[in-house]
Amino acid sequence: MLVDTYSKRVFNMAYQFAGSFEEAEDLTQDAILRAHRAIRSFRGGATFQTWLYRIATNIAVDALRRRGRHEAKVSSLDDPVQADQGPIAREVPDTQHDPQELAETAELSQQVQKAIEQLSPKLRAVVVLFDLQGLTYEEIADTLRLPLGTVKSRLFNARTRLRELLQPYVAEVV
Amino acid sequence: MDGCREYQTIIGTYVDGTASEAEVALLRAHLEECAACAREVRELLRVRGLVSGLPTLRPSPSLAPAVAARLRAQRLSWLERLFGGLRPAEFRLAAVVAMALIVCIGVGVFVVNHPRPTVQPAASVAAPVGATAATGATDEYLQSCRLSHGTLDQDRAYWSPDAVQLASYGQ
Repeated sequence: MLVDTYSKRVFNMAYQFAGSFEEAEDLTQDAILRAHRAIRSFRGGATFQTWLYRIATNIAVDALRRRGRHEAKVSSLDDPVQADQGPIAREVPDTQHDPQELAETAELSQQVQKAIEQLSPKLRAVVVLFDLQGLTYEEIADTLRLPLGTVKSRLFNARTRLRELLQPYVAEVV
Repeated sequence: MDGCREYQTIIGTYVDGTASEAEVALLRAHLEECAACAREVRELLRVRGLVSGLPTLRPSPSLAPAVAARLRAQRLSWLERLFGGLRPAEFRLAAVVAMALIVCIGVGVFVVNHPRPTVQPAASVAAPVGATAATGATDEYLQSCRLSHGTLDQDRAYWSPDAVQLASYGQ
C-alpha cells in the first residue's frame, strides 16, 4: 500500500533532483525502504506524506551534494525511456495538439526542467515541493525543518532565479 | 525602484497565491503606478505557470515490484524471523520478561558465589576507645592498621597524652 500510494509521487519529486529516470527510481527505492525501516519513529506530528517527503528530500539532496553536480543532466521529456521491460512512454499531454505545438511544448518543458536543475539544492527543494508536489508553506517548513519565513524567501529567490534562466520564454518584449 | 523593496514579500506571496486580500489590494495599487514591478509580477507568474505545468512522469512498471521485493527482504531480518509472529506490544513484553529473567539469574549466581562473611568477635576488630589505651586489643588494632610511623612503641608514644598536649601548645 505504501509503495502503490507514494512511489509515483516520490519518484516525480526525486526526478527533479536526479534529472534521470534511473537515478530517480533508485532514490525512490531508497526513500521508501528507509521510511519502512523508520516507520516506528513516525509519531503522527506531521502528515505521513510530509514525513515521507522529508526522508526522500534528504536522500535526494544528499545524493545531489555528494555528486557535486549542478549542471543539468537533461533528457527530453517526450522521449521514451528504456527500462527492463522496454521503452516506457511519459505522460505528456498530446492528443489535442498538432505536432508542431507538441514539439514546442516538449522543448519548453525541457528548458524548464533544465532551469530547475540549475538551481541550488536548497532552492530546488522548495520550488519542487511547492509547485510540483503541491505542499503548503507549513508542510515545506516541516519537511525541510526550516522557519516559515525562510521557505517563503527561498521560494521567491528560486522564482527570481528561474525568471533569469528562462528569460527568453517569460520576458516581455518592450 | 528602491521604494519597491517593501513590496517584494507581497509579490512573493501574491505569485504563490497565498497573499491576503489586504496584501492583494495594496500590491495592485502599487502595480498601477510601477511598471517595473508589474512586469516582474507578470514574469514571475509565467515562471510559476511553466514549472507547475511540467508533465507528471510515470516510473517504470518494474519500480513498484522492485521496491516490494526489497521491502520483503528487509522485513525478514534475523530478529524479525525470530520474533516475526509477535506484534510490537507483545515483542516489548517478551523483551521485559527476558530482561527480568536475566537479572534474576544474575543475582542468584552472585549470591551463590559470594556467601555472607561470618561475624568476628567484637574484641578482635573494635577500635580502642581512647588513643592511650594500651590494651591487647589496641595493639592488635594498631598492628592490623599497619601504620607507617614505625614500631608499635613509636605509635604508642606518638599518641600518648603528653605528646598530644605538647603538640597542642605548638611545641
